[in-house]
Amino acid sequence: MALHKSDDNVKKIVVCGNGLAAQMTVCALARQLPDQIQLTWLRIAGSEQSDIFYGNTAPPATYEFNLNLGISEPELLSGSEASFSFGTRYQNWGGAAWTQCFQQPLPIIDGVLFHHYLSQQNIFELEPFLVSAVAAQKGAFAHPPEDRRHALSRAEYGYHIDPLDWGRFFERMVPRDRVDIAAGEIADIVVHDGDIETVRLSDGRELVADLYVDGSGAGAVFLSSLGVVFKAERRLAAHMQYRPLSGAEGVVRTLTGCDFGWVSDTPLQSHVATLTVFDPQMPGQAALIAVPEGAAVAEVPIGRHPIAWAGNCVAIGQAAGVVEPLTAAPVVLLIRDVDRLLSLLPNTRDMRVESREFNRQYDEDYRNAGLFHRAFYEGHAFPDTSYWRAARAQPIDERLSAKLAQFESRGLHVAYDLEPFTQEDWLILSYGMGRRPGRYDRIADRADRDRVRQFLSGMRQDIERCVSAMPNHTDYMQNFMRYLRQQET
Amino acid sequence: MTAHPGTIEKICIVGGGTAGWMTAAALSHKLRGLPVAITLIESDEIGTVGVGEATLPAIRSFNSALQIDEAAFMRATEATFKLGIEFRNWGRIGDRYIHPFGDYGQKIDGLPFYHYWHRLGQGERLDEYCYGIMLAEQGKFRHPSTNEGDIESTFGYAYQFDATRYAAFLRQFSEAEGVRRVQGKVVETSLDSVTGHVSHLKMDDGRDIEADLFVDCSGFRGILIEQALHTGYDNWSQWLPCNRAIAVPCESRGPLTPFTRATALEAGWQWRIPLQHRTGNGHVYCSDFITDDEAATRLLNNLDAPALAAPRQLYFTTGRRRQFWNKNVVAIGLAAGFLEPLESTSIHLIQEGITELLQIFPDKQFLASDIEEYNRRMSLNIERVRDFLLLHYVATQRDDSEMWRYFRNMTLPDSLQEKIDAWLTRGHLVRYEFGVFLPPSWVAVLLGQNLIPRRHDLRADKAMRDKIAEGADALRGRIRSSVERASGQAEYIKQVRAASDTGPLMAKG
Repeated sequence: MALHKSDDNVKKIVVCGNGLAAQMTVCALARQLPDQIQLTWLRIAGSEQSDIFYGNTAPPATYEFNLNLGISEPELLSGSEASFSFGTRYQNWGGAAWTQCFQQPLPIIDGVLFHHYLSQQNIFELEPFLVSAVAAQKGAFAHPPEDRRHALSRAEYGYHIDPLDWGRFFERMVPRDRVDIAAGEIADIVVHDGDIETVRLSDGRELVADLYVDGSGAGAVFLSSLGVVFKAERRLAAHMQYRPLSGAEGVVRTLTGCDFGWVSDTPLQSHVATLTVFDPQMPGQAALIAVPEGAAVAEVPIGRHPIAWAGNCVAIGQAAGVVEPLTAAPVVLLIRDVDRLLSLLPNTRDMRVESREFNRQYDEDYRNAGLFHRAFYEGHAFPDTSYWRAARAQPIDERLSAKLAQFESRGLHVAYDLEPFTQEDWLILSYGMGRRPGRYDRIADRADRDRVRQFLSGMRQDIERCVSAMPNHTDYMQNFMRYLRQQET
Repeated sequence: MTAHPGTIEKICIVGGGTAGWMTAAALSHKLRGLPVAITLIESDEIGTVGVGEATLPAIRSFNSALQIDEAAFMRATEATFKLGIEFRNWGRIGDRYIHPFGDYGQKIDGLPFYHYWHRLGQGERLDEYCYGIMLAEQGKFRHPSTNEGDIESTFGYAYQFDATRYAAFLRQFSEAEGVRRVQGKVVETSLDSVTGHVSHLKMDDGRDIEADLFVDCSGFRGILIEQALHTGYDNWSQWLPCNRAIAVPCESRGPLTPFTRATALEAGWQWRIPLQHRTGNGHVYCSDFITDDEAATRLLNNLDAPALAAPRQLYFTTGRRRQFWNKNVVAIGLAAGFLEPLESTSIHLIQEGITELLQIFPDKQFLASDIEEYNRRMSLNIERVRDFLLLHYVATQRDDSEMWRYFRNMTLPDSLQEKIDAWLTRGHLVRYEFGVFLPPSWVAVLLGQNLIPRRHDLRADKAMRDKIAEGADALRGRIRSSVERASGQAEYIKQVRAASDTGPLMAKG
């Protein structure tokens, strides 16, 4: 009889992995599940290095995710290298440069979306109207107030992170004595009728659980044992190193396109993390990219498994799919994976309903995030090198075609259910990469053009005034941390 | 870039019912000041169906976008406030529940409250944690608080109104906004020989009416979308087999309930919509399971007051036009499709059609990409409503008549079956973003019709039981004491000067 057909309650869960996905999953399960569910963390070495592929930005949704786990922002900032982030500044990207900032919805005037008025006024720049982007340019930061009359209220922020450090933070947030730790190497995974039955370790121990969570990174040791095959799109390599703060760090990650791929600098609390992403198969690559001593290095296939939940095994993070850390997408998807697991954690060993729904959401999330990334490579002025050719050779989903076509035709946002990137994210990306609507919403013409001009110029001035009164990020962060320390004492 | 090549200069709306005048009002108001002329054709000889006299909360944003004063609108349309729909006899005979506009309880650590209610053993009705339901059950009303922290901010409301008077109200509004009303019948539709677009309409008095964009609000007949363009119709009778309705108004007696009622019967269901001056009633049924005469008798016997007029018969086929927008014709209202008014969606779908048309307003090129996007959005809307309506018929323990047995034996669309399975297994709701009925609505119908999940989200087991119970009791208490202070609906309508001066209608003799 197959195990998963049983009506028995889920009592034991094993999470495997040693990197961010496992650390975050164990933390979430330990903090959210009742004590009668036994949690075992099988710490197998080997996946931590590829954590650099989670990148250095965590989206605004991180705040709520943490809060639901009972982890506050002060705890995050005091317990990790995380610092505030207004987004990413892209440079030398297909000939374009822009700030892909986190942003609350722009004003809707007379039922017409904001950007139509820019088109009507022949204004080609969106950034002066994005308070997070303007603040980022000045390196200024403050928490956005709730009062909508305040220009800063439309800002949105996430966090800069070092994925290795962030994982250790989640590990420290695991309640003491809640989780059994099993360290070792897997010798064998016994599979029966599409389920994992036993995990044998090289020292002879056996782990038996009702649910196996795979947080083992791109190798997906649990999921692959069930015959689920990873579908790779291309391979990428990366290395991450640190350098001291200069004191003039901004509030965005800076990402610069190069012939071999790209390099990003992310200011954290006590240092700057530099991530270099490149095509490992690029001719002459080794000569171009010297890997610094002590740097974390990884090479991974970009792509994903067709399903993330098979039988009694569910894969989280890179064990499910590996995404290029070009945007906050890897962390967005990791958070969604963990959230999805929490909301569908099976009550019994018959988990067919849960797995079907999990896989449906997983497929939608990864597909929709993929649209956003693929849009970064649509343009004309990219280098003709292997990294860019491979990225641009990826097929264009019909959803992306519809999005690009409608935006360029008439500035219309085509949206699908519960996408990981918002309308503002898409708008900022489109403007950043030089896409402009061919037409604007005709209703915009109802407004008096002079009044629209005045409104827009007033809005710019408001933003500038607001930003000029904001402290720079470094000062704000130092004061905030000082305040937190005072609170502790 | 800023030029508008080939902008639409003339719009012609065919049909002057609820759909026609809502479209005219919205287009004339939103396009005011632009060089666009709007003509609406309606025939005094052709009656209107006056779909759905009950609405959903989104109607408020429609009215407020037109800057319509609520009290004036309510007086003119005999409107009452609506806090939800009371469903009777749907799960089992003798059952009742209210599908409210608002959520149950408050989320705890991101987890919907009903999981905690399930953990507590479902001792109290979940309804006790929903402000809108408690207010409705007491026959009371108040406007929601705009302060997010208040318990009184946790519900929404809509209206029940006389749709014919609403159309008349909007006609006045539209004509003041410059809409030209042409009285007469369309006798011929001419198509452009190259594009196949509708070029002009010939009227029964010989006049020709030309336009760039035509909006077909001609009802079931679909004079342009179907008779002229042969767009085709997807018949959904296999899912929703009801195909007829009989409507009759009766006197308004007793307290003015702030909710619509839908009572399940053997071969369909009966609506009851309380307005200020009368009560609207109707019996929606499937002709395979009951004769017209029996259906009429059933309805008349069920009225709670004397009838004010002879019953009126309606025929329909549930389904949708294959394309809502075809060439230069956009179908809105019954011309676009029909779904029985079980969840008051008719006017809502009209509103969605208008909103999307304004969002994707065409120019004379009529780009295929615009038409595809409009049709994609509207298809999703109507299909999701269809599944939600079907849920009412299949989430049931009834098997006491041929119709209920028909639903019992039905193989459901996969999407709906998966939703029900996920709910029953663990109280999980398969969410979507685009569609009118969000998770609380699904919870209302599923629980209201006795589909109690076998288990709840495990996270609800984390906190101490006593602490959850304490919080739940406090919430119930806050709702109860606040509802105590609210006024009865009739009194409240007077207080806010929304009472019409018609006075209740009386049956003759």
